[in-house]
Amino acid sequence: MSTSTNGKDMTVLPQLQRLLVATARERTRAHLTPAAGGAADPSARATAGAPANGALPARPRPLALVALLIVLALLLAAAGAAGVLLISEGSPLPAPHAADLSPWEHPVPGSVRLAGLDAPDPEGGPAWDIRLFRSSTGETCTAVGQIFNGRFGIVGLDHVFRALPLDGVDACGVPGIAGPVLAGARVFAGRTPAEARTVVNGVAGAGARSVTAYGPEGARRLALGPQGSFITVYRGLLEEVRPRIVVVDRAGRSQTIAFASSYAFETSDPDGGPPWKLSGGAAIGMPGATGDENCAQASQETGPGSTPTIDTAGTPEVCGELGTQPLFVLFRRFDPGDGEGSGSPWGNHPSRTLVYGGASLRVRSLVLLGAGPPRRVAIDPRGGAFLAVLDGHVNPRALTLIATLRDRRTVRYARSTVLYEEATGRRIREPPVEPYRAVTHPGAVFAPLEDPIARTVTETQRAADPAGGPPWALRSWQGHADPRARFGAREHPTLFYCWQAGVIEGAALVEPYPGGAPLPLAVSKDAPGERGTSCRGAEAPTPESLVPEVQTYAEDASAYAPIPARTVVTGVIVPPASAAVLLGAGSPRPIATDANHAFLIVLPGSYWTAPLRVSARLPGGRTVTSPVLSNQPVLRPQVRAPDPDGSAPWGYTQTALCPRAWSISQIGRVVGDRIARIDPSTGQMAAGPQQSSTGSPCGSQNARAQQRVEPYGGSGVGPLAGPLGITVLQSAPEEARPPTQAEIERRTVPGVTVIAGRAAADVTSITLSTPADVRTVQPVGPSHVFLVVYDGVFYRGTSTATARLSDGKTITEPIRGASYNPGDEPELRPRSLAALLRSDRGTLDRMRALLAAVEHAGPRERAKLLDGEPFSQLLKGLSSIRSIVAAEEARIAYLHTHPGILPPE
Amino acid sequence: MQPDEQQRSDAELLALTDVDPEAFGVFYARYERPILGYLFGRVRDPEVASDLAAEVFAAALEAAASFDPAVGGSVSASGWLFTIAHNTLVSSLRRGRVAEAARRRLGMREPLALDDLDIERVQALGSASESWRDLLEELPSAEREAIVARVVQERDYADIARELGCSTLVARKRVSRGLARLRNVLGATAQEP
Repeated sequence: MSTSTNGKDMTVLPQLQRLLVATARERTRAHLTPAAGGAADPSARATAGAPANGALPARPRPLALVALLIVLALLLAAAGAAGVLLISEGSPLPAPHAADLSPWEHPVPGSVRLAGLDAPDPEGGPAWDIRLFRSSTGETCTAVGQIFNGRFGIVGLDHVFRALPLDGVDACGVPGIAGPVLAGARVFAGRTPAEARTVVNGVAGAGARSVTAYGPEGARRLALGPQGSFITVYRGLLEEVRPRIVVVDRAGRSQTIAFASSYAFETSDPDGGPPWKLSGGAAIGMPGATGDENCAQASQETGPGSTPTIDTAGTPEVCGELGTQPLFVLFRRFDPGDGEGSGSPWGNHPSRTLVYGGASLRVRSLVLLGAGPPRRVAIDPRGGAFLAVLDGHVNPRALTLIATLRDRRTVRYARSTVLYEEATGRRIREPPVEPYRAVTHPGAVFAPLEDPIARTVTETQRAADPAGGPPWALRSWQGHADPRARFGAREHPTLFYCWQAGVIEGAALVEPYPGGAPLPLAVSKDAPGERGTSCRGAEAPTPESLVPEVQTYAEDASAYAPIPARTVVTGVIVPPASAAVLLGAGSPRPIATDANHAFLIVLPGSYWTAPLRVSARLPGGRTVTSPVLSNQPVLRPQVRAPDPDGSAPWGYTQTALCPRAWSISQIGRVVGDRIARIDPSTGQMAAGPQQSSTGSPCGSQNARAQQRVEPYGGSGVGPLAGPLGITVLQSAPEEARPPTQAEIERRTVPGVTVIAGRAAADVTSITLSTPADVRTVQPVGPSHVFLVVYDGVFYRGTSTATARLSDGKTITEPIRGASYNPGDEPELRPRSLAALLRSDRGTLDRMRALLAAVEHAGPRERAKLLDGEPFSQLLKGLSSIRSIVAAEEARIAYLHTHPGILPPE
Repeated sequence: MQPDEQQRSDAELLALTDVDPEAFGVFYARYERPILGYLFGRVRDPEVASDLAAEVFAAALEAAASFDPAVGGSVSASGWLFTIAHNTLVSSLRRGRVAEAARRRLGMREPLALDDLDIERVQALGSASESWRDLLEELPSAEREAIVARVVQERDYADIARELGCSTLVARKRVSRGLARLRNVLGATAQEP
């Protein structure tokens, strides 16, 4: 038999036909090879395939009918699989710029290899693997990705696979400090929470015997690849998965690493929001506290689902004496607007009914009645605190808490009981329950600044865009101070000049917003002011009131090297100032104002770092000139790191303001060769750091770690004096928005966490342990600095840094500020009451000695000892520490005389 | 190819494959266009469709000897092949890459190299599929439903009649009328199954 090749019968893909026939031939040869006695009988095979009843073979199905089958199958399949898209392949992701990489992030040629672990994707996507390489300085570096058509990369949110560059690296590490060389829980974003992936991965080292991962579905014993590499993939975000791994070495020693774990005692939110947590424990700091007092306070954590707000819901910290009662409890509904002026305002958060307090060891269990089926309320075994969070429609008066004691007696509580307010020590009287209140419009909670006078609203000024964009326009108006405005006591202005600058789109004035849709600018009484609105009081002009608003917009703020396209200068020349000019942008530019004395000037973007200021003439001929607020010194980065989204790289520098002050740590984007601020959402950029904070004390920059370190507080100097002088920058949670192109391509998580520092002279490496991973970096350059950039925000879990010194010793210090939830601040090890007492007694002794020295010193010496502080401050501090020591002593004494009553520390 | 070989049934061709490799070539030629058209209609990429088709026919080649039309109550080879195509497609969609397990098992390591002409031909099949789709959609819905139930789902007339709420005779008539309508338009010889 042969296959026809004439025009009519020619196949579409004859090469495939040949290939198949050749393969069939190979198989035939294999079948005909005598293996089980004699050659096969072709006719017997053919007969075997024919209908068994000896009837004629069925007619071949006509081609037209087959084609019909196709169409029908198409129709049927289209509905079921319409949402499924085949992955296509796009251009590889760009490699990071060599200038932004640290020396150890460059691979040794030929050392790059895939671990070959092929961890399955939870929903059947391409398998996941680790790429390993050895760095020129001996570290093992890894990157996580997916395998598609034999290539290593990432399938983006657009279902496009893009290869990862060879020198793209997630983390590098060396063995010895924190167990595994590397361990991480990398999050890849999804369009839905279920589409997100948490990829637990790492390199356990050649000495690893097993790695077991624990997640929501239980334990997974992981396959080990080269160097003990491992990987497993979970559906969902890190905060939901909360994975941990247990690494066992050949000697049988095990080490557990938990990602995004929290020390907090948590309970879920009734609406599925971020969990609530309760802090509780002995009321050591409370003046006059008795030995049996405990306190508790509830708060909601922030998480990926949080709505960005300027505050979180606050609840009072309540205390009770556990020696006299088995527990203390607060039943209260918290409504929007509650607690104003109390120090723990609820703010404009949804109403919740909370039941929280503390239980002594005598309480075995708690059950809450009155809100649906009886619900068990867990008790924190460490501090005895408990918390139930209910929908705000639940009336707290309808609730009953039943405590079952260890002697099997039960006690019922239907009202707040045995409560003191921590801040004042006063007994709490539970106020009447107010009606449920829904969340209100922000304007109803925060009084507006000004009420626009409608007849004054004007839009007369226009300016061409120097980069060829839509023209700019100025809207201005005058407004009376809103009588409810809470600022400046009664001294605030009665009249305001307000303005907005934007571009004309259609017939509307909008603020450009590259991160989403342009924001319409409107004039209303919403407070604390419409977005994009600036106001200035109608008071006598001062240099400060003339300071212009300056916004520079980049052509593409997400670019690696954004180019400033336009600098928009606005302001008000408050009467009676006149004849104003703009200085700092070439020759002085006369400023034309509109009917409300506002002005708009749009300059080329090249003026983005110019020291712009406004000068105006006052009656009598005097000239007043605004100070320069935008005149940032040129900060050169001492170390750089790539941005996870491929935007402008990050830089860190430490500027010494010595000898009078501390050195200042500064973090920002690197534009050109200077540190700058960039907001890809608004498209704005400006000179200067994104964040500044105090770094090391003067004189300690080059000190050895042993001279700088104060590992566990002691005198309270804290981590600023530690060997690493760490600074953290963490972006705030963002409003829900569509993913950017970079986030689509790389599946990075919104937000960023930057950890940087200047290490002591004898620090050779730093192992950073964060909720995202464990990695090791080395200080670089003459400044001995380091910089690490993670995508996303750490909502849960604690972070530490371990410095390895040149003498082989290690020092671990907490990284404060790395977690977005302040309650997750790291506590390296729980401090016992006895340890606290020892430390506080030491502080008390030092303060007493200082007091004695001050009392006997001469005026000059006395001033030096007090270091500018008033003497009364020293006495206050002494009194405070004395009362704390007394409370600790009382607590310890109570524990001795009443064993088994108070919860464990 | 000899004329009598052309007349062999699908089942015969598959049964002969193990002893006469050219038989599979005939089977391939018979179903290449429908399968390619089906796949191209789904993925809209001629190269991916060709890659998928290679895997489909490799899987068919691998299973040719085990094809038994008597199993499951008169299974047609075309239905069997389309089942393979559907499974290959779904599996590839889930994994995000074209399955190649069958080809690997068969040792088919030679990649399918397509030139511009190949791609054009596959695309042309896609256009034909589109016209079929349009055509079917122009049928009265009762006939379309009956054809789908009978031809694609291979259900018996009693079952179809129950679902459509008509007698068996009416179900048969609807299928027959729908096919006749298609025949007239295409000038083809679609026959009632």
